[in-house]
Amino acid sequence: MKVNFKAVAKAIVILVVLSMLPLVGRQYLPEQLMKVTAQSGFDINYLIISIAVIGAVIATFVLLRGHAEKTSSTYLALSTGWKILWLLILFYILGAGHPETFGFLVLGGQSGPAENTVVFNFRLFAFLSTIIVALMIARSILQFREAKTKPAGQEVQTV
Amino acid sequence: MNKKKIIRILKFTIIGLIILTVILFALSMQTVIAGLTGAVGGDSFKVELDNDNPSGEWVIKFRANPVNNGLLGEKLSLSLSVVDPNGEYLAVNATSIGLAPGERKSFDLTLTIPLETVQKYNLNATETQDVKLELLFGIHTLGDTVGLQQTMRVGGGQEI
Repeated sequence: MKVNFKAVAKAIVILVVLSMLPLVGRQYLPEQLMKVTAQSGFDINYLIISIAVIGAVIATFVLLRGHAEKTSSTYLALSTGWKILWLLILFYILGAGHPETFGFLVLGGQSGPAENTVVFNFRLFAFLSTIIVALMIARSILQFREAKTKPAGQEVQTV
Repeated sequence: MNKKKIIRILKFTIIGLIILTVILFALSMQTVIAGLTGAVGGDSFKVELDNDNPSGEWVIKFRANPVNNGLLGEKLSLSLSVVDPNGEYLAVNATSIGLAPGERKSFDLTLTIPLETVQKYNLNATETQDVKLELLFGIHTLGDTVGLQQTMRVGGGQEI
């Protein structure tokens, strides 16, 4: 198999920026910041680890996509996975580290006998994004089928 | 319809939906943030406690005079309640109003705590840590699909 150096370089950059830098930089974060974020219901350690995991997954996708034939079913599967991954990242951002809330961001905490909770509702955007991704996947499948029916040598448009 | 046409229709539908999502996101965020500053800024919020009532009841009066500085219509909701240590509501009152862009409306919300509750939980004493006052404030736009809700619970001797 031919090595796609461009894809390898992109994957390394993504891995360094999204995975390695946050993990290394974690120890330099001021303690005061950790305390303030913990009081507002934010787990900064969890956030950093999730960003590192997302970085590793994106880098893997970039590497695999760079080595797949654009007309192959592997490329279609990777392209579908890539779109789903971006949808999950969007849910992750809308839920501030909790993609399972599907666009519900809950912030707040307790300080002595006082409690303060703020709930942001972004479900409309999570719903619209899901429709967009579903349509994108449907388009990719149709394009893949179209490319399969075309005689060899014709140019194939990819998403 | 051939596949090429469907692919093209899908392409433009996707582009249209992306643009719509971005526009709705920007408009709703602007409305929520501007609405929030118009609802809680300046003299728009006032909470008064009347505990010298001859009947012995406690009356919490909430007065608001919010303005909608957003580009879309918004719905403000407010709820005042008193919660016991087990999380049970002893007294609740809630209201909501709709505000068109640029509109200002005033409204009052009164919560009456019955005499028996005042006596049972010893609310007149300085230490009333076991009963909490809950203030729920919500601001929503785009037909209640986007917005935020803030819930504050404070114990005795604290200020909102």
